[in-house]
Amino acid sequence: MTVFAARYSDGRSASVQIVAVRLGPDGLSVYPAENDGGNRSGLATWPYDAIVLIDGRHKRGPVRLTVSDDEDARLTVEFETAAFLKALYAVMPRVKKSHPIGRGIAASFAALIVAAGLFYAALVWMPPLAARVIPESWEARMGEQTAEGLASLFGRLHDGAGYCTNAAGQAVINGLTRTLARAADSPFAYRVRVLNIDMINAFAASGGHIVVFRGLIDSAEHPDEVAAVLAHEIAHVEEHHVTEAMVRAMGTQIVINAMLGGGGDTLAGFGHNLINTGYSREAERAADKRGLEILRAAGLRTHGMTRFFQRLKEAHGDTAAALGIFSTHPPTEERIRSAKEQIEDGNPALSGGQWQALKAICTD
Amino acid sequence: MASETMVAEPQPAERPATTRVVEPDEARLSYHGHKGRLAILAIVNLLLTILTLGLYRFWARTRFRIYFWGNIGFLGDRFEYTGRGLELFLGFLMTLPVIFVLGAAFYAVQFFILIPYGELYGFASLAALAVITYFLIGFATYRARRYRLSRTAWRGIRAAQTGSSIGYAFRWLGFFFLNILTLGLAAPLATVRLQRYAMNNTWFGDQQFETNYAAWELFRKYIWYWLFLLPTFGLTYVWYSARKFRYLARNTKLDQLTFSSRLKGGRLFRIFLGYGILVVIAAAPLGAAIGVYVFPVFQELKQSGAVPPDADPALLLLPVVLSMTPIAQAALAGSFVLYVLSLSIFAMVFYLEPLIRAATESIHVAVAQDFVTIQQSAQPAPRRGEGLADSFDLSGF
Repeated sequence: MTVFAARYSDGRSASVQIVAVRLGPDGLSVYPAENDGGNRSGLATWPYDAIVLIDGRHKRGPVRLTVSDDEDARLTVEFETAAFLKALYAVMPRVKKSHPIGRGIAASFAALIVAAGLFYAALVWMPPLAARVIPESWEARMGEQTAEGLASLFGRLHDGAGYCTNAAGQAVINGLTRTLARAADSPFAYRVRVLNIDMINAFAASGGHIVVFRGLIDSAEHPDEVAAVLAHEIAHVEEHHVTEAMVRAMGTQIVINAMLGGGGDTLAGFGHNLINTGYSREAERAADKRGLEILRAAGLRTHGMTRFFQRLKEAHGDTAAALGIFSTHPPTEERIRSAKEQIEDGNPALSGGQWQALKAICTD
Repeated sequence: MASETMVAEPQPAERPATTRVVEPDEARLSYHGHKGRLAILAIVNLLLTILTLGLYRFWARTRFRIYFWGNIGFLGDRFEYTGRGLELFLGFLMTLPVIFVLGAAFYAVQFFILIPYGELYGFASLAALAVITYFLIGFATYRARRYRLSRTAWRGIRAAQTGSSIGYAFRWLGFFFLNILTLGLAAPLATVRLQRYAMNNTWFGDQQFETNYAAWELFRKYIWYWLFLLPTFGLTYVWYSARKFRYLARNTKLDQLTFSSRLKGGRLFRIFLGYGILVVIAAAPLGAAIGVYVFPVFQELKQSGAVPPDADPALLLLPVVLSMTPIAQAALAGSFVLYVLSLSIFAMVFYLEPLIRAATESIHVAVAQDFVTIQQSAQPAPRRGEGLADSFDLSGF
């Protein structure tokens, strides 16, 4: 039977002793080195199935062992490590390892599956549910906050620009909104405001708050275009798109952050943007479709949608198309196409006088 | 390794009951790391972390620690890291609610204070949140240290840390502000107080570390480095770091063990410089790809007025890249991946390991010691991992 020299610490004090190790039938026995011949009383005997390999998987460096019923004890074989490991594996082919790598891999992949489930819930399952559960009064309050916040943000950026206050113009846009909302049979009380900023844009916050930028009204050549944009935004509100997007953004952000920890902010933001972009383009398509339905139900002409997107394309040109993949709206060309297919007759949205009043909404 | 130990000569009259090793009077810490093995470990860890979308990181960190701890030797025996990846993972899960509340608070301040009540209240509350966050970072740092020490063993004897994380966090926060107010002059005071708190609460077995740090002594050394900090673009701090390390080592004691270090600033500087050069080399292909493919498109976009001149380039990057030819995309993606992968491996092999090697090998220990007097402690060890420290990405390796 081969004897190996080793260093042994009993786990009770930080001292170490030189020992002889023998791989016997009952297990690994540790003897004081100089006791080898005579006195057979050993320091310890470790059953093979209780031995745990701490170090010794690579050729350089010592082999370190402990035993599961005395976890603080350490046995270190420094010399003839290959022969020692060979002898140990000969009697115990499956020596336990202190850090089996397979366990970490299995655990992290299991966590990945759980995280994927949570992510799916946050992405697909939670947002519509939350949008249905959140009371409409909350949505209205959130929408109010968003509308006010954006007004003050743009106000700071564009020297104090605020909401337009011309009463006659406001009455016209209120009337048009009311007509469309009634046609949509929507539960929200709509509030439309025109922000005095020269940008062709409009957005819906949750709970019936709609903001139209002055640039959009200025650039409109026909009231039907404004009606089409309003119908589109009403469709967003009615289908809780904004609330859903907020819940989705929050949920997915939480899951991504939880997975990547503190270090993955850039990556998290990137993935999150990509996902939400996809969703909001879907929402825009749905709002385009529902917007046309609303216009039709209100007895209005739908060509405004076509005309407006046509001009949006002329204004922004090809760069808008280049940026399209990342933009939240579907490519303009595509929207014109789907709106063109659905042109039909109907009433003009506003009379000539009303249109003049709306155009003057930002003049006092 | 073997040369550092000696077997007691058999002296019939006073022979001990066992063949206990009699330690030499003086010893150095030794480092046995191997760049090739560390590089393989780093690559495997990186691949598994990518495959699990980041979740393997707890186990990756554990394997790095097993490697580093296990390659530091003292008196013929290696240190040992006994922690497990699962502990870090569970610790992290426990702190997710804290992170969530903190994130939600930053979000809420924007919507419910900044916008309705204006910038004064908004920024005041953001500042308050930042202070809370910084406090939590101090708290987490101390907690993480407690965990790491409890999972550190030598000859089977465990290290430990006592003291209060909250107490440490308050000091941490206080010295942070003091440092800002004094333009960094208070750094030695902060170092001495925080290190003293941490080291005086550090145990090996049943023995507690003792320190003899004095802020004034460190300050007298520091003031010269501080004076030349700006003219040398902060370079003097590298030499100060070595000096500080030597000072702290010299004034630390454990039972009958006293320490000293010969760490040289020049050695640290060579490590930083070498790593810096590697970072530049790793970034060169990416820089070239951006210069050739991305930059001209950006310029064109801005000149055509399609995007505002002050547009955030980070937001434009993806749409611009997506509108490019496949060759350009491949060049960009390839160089980016090369950069990220090589950096995370270089950071281990050419930065962290050289630093650990330099620090370890610089340490001399005077061993007027019979190690039988250091006994295993009965103090319970924390059961879960570092938690918050991972969330704040503090735990390093």
